Amino acid sequence: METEVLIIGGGITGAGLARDLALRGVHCIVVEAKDINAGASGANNGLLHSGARYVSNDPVSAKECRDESRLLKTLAAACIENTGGLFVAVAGDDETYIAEFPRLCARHGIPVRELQRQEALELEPALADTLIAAYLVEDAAINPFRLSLENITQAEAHGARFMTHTELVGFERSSSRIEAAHVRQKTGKEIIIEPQQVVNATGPWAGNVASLAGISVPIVYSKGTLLVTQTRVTTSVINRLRPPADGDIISPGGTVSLVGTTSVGLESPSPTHPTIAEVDLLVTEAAAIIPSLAAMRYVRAFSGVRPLVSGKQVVDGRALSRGFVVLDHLEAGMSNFITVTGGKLTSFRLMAEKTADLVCRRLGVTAPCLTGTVALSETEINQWTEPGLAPHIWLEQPNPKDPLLCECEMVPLSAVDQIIDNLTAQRETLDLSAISLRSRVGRGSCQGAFCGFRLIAHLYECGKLQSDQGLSQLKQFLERRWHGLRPILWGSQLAQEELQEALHCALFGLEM
Amino acid sequence: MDDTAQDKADLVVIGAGLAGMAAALFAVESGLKTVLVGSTAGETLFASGALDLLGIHPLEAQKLWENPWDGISLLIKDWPEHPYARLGLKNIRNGWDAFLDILQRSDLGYRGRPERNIMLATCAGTVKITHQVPETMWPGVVALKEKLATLIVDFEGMQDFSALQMVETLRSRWPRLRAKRLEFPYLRKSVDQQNVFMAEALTSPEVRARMAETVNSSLRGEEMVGMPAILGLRQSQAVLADLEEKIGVPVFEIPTMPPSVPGLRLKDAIEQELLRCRAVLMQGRRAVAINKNGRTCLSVVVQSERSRETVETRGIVLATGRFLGGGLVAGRKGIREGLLDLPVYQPGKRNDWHLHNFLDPRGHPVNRAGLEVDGFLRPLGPDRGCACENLFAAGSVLAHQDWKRMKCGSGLAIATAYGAVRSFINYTDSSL
Repeated sequence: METEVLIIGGGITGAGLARDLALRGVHCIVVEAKDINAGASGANNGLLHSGARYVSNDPVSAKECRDESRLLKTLAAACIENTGGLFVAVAGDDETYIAEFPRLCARHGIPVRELQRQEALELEPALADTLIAAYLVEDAAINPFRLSLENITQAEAHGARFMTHTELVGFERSSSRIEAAHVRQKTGKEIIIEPQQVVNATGPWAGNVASLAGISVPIVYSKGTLLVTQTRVTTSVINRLRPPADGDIISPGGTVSLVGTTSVGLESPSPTHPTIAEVDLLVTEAAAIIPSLAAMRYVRAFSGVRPLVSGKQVVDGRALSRGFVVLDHLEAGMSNFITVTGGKLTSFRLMAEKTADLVCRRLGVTAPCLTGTVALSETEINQWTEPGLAPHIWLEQPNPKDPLLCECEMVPLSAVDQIIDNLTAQRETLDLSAISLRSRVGRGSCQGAFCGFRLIAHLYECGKLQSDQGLSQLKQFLERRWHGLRPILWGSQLAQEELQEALHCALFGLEM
Repeated sequence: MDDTAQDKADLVVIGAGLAGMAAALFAVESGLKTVLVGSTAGETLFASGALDLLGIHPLEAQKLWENPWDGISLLIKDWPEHPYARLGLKNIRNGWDAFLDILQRSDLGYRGRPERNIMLATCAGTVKITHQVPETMWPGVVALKEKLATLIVDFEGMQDFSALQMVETLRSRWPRLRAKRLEFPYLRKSVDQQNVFMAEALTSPEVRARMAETVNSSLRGEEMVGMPAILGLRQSQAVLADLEEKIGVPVFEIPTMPPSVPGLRLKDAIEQELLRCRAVLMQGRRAVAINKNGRTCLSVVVQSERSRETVETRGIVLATGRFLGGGLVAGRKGIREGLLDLPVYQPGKRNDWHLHNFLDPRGHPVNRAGLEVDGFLRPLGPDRGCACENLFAAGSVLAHQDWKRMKCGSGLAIATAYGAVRSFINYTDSSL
């Protein structure tokens, strides 16, 4: 198999890069070991930063966020809920920092407006009455799943090829370049891809992938944990007005809110599961600004790994910031190998542009970057990733002939069928997790207790499952959801869990 | 909110799940003036309708018991804190037999093999170990054991039951199964509660005749027909007999996801019996407080939407269930008892509540949390003596058991209900 560019990693970086290259007419293949957004791209707070968060310690990131968020609000509107954001401080927070904040925003050109206490409480009634300062900023919520899927859809429409569940096994290299990459599919089948250029876009795994080419990319791994509430607590993004710390962002995600994050160093890029200590820390910290979060029902916790780079072969010179890096491995003797890592969701487009610029220079392609002017696609099939959309559609036009497969998230059977057809057409792996990722099935308060079982039955009905395959898929699905459930099991979510166990163990005996 | 004392009872049972219902039943059978207070529909709604006695022990070894009584004997030796051990074999057997006797008087027959557990195929295509099933499920137990050629039918528009899923999943274990989707004579537009609606519809002979016709035309020489458990909300045996006659081969019901029609039938049968014996059912109401004098419970405060009343009583059975029923309440820092704030046996920290794999066969330690009791099933107070001399506990609120994993839910509910009522009777006899 030949291609101009092989991209390793199917997160937002790889997806964004594929779209950028495809729009310039460059052929690329993306290989992803798991599924779309399996790493940090699928485990973040879905926040489109205005830049205000970085004014105090990371001015480069602040400006990047400002420009990119404005651009995306016009070009990727379907993925964004333009909620606005607040920076709030409560009694006891550092007053010098509070006083400094508007001045720093002004210096970096980040729009900010001071709110009177009463005004802020009217805007966000959930805020604590110990509020002492509030500033309005241009933060927004962004749906990372739809964002990646739309980038992929558009890239594919321009000739790019995506291969999920395809793991990189190794490189064939000569003295100065990568001649071929060996990848292995889920079925065990090995494929050899011969690319002209290779881009390592594997986020926290960038060090591991680079080492397969004999190159060292030192990555610092930072684990972040977030909580999903059962109901949405605020209209806008709420940031704690203090130097970045644990549990200081509450961001809306459709019908729910996300509470994050923690930051813990890790030894390896493999994400560990959220812990009870992290969950308790988040609840305590977040409840200081939104007291109802103390008694809130949480439906899930999840963790991601941020890749932070501590290297020297940096092209863009942003290594010292929390920004991204594009590493040209020419210095290490490789003429066709690039690593892009670090960065954040908000700056994914810019990361893709800078990387594609370098790739195109190497390929001798002169076509300019189009992602700053061409709108991202808005595809019907990708809309089901949007929290709260399915209920909206269903309530507006309930269709008795189209029963709800997932009642918590109100996902109709027809949506699931669309996704199944699409996955089948693309010869993608078709299982519970793949469908859940592309819809909202299993993400509501039942966490798959009912809809997981229903979806398995449906897959049998469509002839996609035989013999007892469904049983092992259901077990795997339940175990995966468990990692996110285990640390938040108290109150009514524990009662829900009791029902789930009564069904799955007492009635079905799945553990036997 | 008038605080009016009106009713006087011998025994107030709090909780309308299987344990509460069984306790009330045993109480009225003994001639006690009994009041049953229940805030939820009772978790029996979620039960399959099958009655488990003991399936697995010890969990670590996943030992399945062919004879549940042998299993219970070992359990009593191994685990002295388990409620079964507190009761002793004789009480368990007496309670179990008494409960089944009462059921035999209703139109809801139950069946099993003497001294044997049985295996029952579920709608997930798994096989459940249990002890007694409704008569309407029995032919299915035989069919699975003998691996008879069987047609499994399901119905267009009914969610949560796929004959194909069941047949495919069971294929290696039960090869001569075939799935067929049929149209049900009447369907309502919403799929919500569809199986309850279908069960109601099947009480009509015309609907049955039409359904039998479609089943008949689908038979390809199968010896039996299995279908979701929707064969009538009441008089299921008559519904079954009529269908079997029309179809010409034995028919059986398969347990479904909730709402469970056999669960509703069980609840209904017990309720009818309770009403016949003049028990007072205060359903949809919640016990909110208990008035005490020292270590003696005097009355239960019952709250409904509009009023609050106080029921004077000589004793109380607490059958409030676990987290779902509200008997236990879990916070981030610990578990407490929901009504009296009784001490709750529990793992030390939240980190110890659950194992790292959901389906770990050992069962989550939090499942063993609950009320510890004395030899009379009286919850212990902070001083490790009984909290109240006339307060008894029954069912899943009890500590030192894991009914979901040991497959002993119904047995636990019924036997502890029996034990609690016996203890209450002994208590009143001795205090008179």
